[in-house]
Amino acid sequence: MDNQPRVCIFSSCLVDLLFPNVGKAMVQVLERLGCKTFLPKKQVCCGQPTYNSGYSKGSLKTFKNEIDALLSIDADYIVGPTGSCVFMIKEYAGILADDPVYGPRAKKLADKICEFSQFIYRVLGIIDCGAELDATITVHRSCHMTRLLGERTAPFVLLDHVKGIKRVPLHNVQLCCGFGGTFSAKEPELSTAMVQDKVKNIMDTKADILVGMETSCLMNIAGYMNRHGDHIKVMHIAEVLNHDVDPSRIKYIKDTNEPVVPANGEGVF
Amino acid sequence: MGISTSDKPFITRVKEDEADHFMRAAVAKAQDAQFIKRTQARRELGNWNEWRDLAEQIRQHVLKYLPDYLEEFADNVEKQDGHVFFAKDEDEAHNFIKELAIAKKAKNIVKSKSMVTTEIDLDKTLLSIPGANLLESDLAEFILQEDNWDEPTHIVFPTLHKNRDQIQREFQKLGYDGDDDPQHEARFVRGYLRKYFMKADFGITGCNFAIADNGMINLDTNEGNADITMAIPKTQVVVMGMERIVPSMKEAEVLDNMLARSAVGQKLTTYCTFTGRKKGGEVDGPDDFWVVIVDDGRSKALGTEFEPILQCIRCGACMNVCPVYRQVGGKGYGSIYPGPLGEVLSPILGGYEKFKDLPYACSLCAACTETCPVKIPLQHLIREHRIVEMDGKHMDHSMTNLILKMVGKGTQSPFLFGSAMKMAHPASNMFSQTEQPGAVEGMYDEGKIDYVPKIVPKLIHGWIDTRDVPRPVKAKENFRHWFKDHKPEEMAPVVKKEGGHAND
Amino acid sequence: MTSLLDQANNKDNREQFLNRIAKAAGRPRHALKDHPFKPLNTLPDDLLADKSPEELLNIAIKNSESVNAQVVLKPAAQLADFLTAYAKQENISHLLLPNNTPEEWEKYGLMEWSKNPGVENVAVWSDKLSRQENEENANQADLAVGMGDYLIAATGTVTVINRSAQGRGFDYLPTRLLLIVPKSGLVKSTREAVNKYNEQTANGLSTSTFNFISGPSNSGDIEMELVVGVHGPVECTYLIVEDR
Ligand code: SF4
Repeated sequence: MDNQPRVCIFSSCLVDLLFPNVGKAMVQVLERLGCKTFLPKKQVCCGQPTYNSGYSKGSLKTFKNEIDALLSIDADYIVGPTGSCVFMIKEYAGILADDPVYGPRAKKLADKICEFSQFIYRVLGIIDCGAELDATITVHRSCHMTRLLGERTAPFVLLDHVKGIKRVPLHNVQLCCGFGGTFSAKEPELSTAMVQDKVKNIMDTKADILVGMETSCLMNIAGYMNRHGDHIKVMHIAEVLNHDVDPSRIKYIKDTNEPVVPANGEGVF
Repeated sequence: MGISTSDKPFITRVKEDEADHFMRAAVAKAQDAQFIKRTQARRELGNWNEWRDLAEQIRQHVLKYLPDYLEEFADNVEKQDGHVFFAKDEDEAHNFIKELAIAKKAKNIVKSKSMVTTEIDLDKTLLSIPGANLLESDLAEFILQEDNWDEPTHIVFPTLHKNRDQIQREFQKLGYDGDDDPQHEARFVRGYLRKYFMKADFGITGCNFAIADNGMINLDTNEGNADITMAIPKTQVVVMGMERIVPSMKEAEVLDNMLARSAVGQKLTTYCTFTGRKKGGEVDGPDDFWVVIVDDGRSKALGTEFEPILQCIRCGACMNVCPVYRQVGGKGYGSIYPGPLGEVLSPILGGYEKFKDLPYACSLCAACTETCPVKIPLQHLIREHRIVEMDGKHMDHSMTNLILKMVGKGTQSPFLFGSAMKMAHPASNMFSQTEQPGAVEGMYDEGKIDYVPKIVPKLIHGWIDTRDVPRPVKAKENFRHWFKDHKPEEMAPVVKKEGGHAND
Repeated sequence: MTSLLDQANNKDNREQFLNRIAKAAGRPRHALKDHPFKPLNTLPDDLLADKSPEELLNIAIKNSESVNAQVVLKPAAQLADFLTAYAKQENISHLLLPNNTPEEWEKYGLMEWSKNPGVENVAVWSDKLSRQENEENANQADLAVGMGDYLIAATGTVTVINRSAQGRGFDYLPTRLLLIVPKSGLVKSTREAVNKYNEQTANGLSTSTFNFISGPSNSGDIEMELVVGVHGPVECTYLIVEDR
């Protein structure tokens, strides 16, 4: 089949260093849904840790390396497992706007890159990945994914179509978990107070599993839970959508009566 | 008190706030209640984001032509026989008003809530006039004044940190003998202040919006104190930040609606008034009408990436959604402008030296940007401040700075990162770590790092003191390794070089 | 040292300030005349534009009640009786009235009532009294019955202007405020009310104040708990005259 979408995988440094399972699950899901995947070796990191801390000049080389790496493969799309980093990459175009070489390349990159769940729902047009997970879950939605990337619905739609899942709403879902990149280390008192509240709300749901779209937030929340004895399972959405899959259940939106939910929900915050 | 409310270092203030359980519970409750009211009010209006576009357009337009609008406004105030003084800084502003109060032999000065008068330290200046009395008439400001000029902690709800019992005790000193029911407390203040109002001879208000094309002042309040302040005293001073101006009542009306919905979840504040100097035949209102237009550092933002902060209409929604404000409350920021607005505005008005920590008291979650009725990209501007501090002023000389510079180096080079991926697992042996998978399933397959020596910098301790960290995976088990092995290698469709390639 | 006061309305003070900020912004002055404000949408004009008059009235009533205003609808012929009964029911001992012309009262059939409203002490806000006398009267009053111009559906607001017969203190100082508004004054939105006032101003209306009043004064300053009645009136009634 040569009309298979060619997808370049943006792995993100956390997946590379700490969470291989998330990367594996993402690739397996995408391949199952008919994509050809490629993984450029030279990619490193989107540059958020330094750029968001104020080191703009020091981040430029990181940006340029990432642009070169991700554009080194002639793919139709670039897909990553984290809305936050994907948005950072989309921001390159503005930051490098005056660069005659990298400005246009950054623009091209911005147009191609998608967050994982957004890609499945909005680009591939799939509503059910065929997964099954017999559990009560609650979802931490992640701030950059919802507010900067502006995608607050795709993950929820996909999760709600996983067979056997019961999703309980998370109280004060809109509040940040306290990660905030280097914020968590620079302002540990504030960050800890925030994650403490978040964990309390999560535990109050009595869910078996916490699902998230962002490995960084999950690392923060799970780090606090693990330290304080709140031992519920934590999964990235890619792992959920890759769980006990029956490919015959994969369903496209167009084959259902369900409307496409706008990324921004009702748009009042 | 000026814009700065505290000389204590940021971290001390944060620790004090952490211990203040009443305050934290009050803030959380307030945020949650406002969340519901605000969202309902905005939904009910419909097309909220298009209203925001309009509000943003109005504010940006005005800033672009600010000198012209101020000129038009000043002309129109002068036409009503009013007076306009342009004050470039805090000292000019409060000295002017002091001179005026002395010249008018003011005895009983009454004020209605205004952030800018706090900013220019007006109360202290006026209290230094022998024989002059001064009362804040806004209920919250009155409470703060009676508690020995306590600091405000929110721009809309300045006494968010106080509870009804504290207020009851405070009022008892003034002769209150009722219970701690807020309704009774408020009625007491009504009576107490009314007596003062009736003899007030010098009134001071802020200004929500100045109307350029008719020289009127637009005020939004719920208590009615600003209106009484504009009714009874014969001399009236309006203090306004120079950016608080709109072309006409039509634009003011748009912003009034959005302000009320954003600030308190109302459709309009109870009193929304357009007013100015008393006109012929009218019985009350100011005979003598003075407007003081204050720069006080605002012009430092004009023409820069920070200009959008001057769009602010002081609704306080950004602090009502801020997860950091939720933990710190207003006092922690050490500025009369707390929360996201304050993180952007305080370093501009008060300088980076004093407020360098504020832009870092933020997880960049962008809830503020999303809620701001005039679409100020707050979290973006907060990050811009960081860039000024680090790249422009090189203000951080700590270990954190060094580490982040190393991270910068590490993330720009595929070679270094490749080595890091190989090294991370063995290197983590330097720290004590647990080999058994941690208890939170799915996160600790390699075990966790749960102790680091004291000597490692705060950047790492900050994390590890309260949270576990998974141990990095072995190189053979990492994602890239798996990817290479998971399917027969297929030639990647390589792009032919088109310029760039920083690392070639 | 010259007095700072001399710098008010002083050309140098103004010009220096404006030139300085224009320079800071890096933009020339006096460019506005070629770039007047043109709103990018018409939302304020479109608000509730699709509602019939009956629907608007219902919306107005609902929104007024939600801001704790009491809404009463009466034909002009019943106003006098209503007001007498209301004053009695509220035990009013000091009533404040505006110094309306006979025509203004008669428009609502209230000429007789205004002379004899059945309340022990009646004061009239008027430019024939001193400022202090008027303010004292208003401060004493436990009810003021005044005239409003527009009833705004979208916000539950009644608008009032300042005039010699009904000043600022009239609206703010009494314990209760009742505003008589003709049903013909029903407008959709604050925008429509502003437009109407702009028209009236163009036709010669001169006032120092447009008040948009939505219910009784209130505050959430103590633990964010709503308390009604802080500095201004503690009760607020809109008396809508159905046939005017
Ligand atoms: S910055 Fe925006 S949200 Fe914050 S107070 Fe100003 S207008 Fe309101």
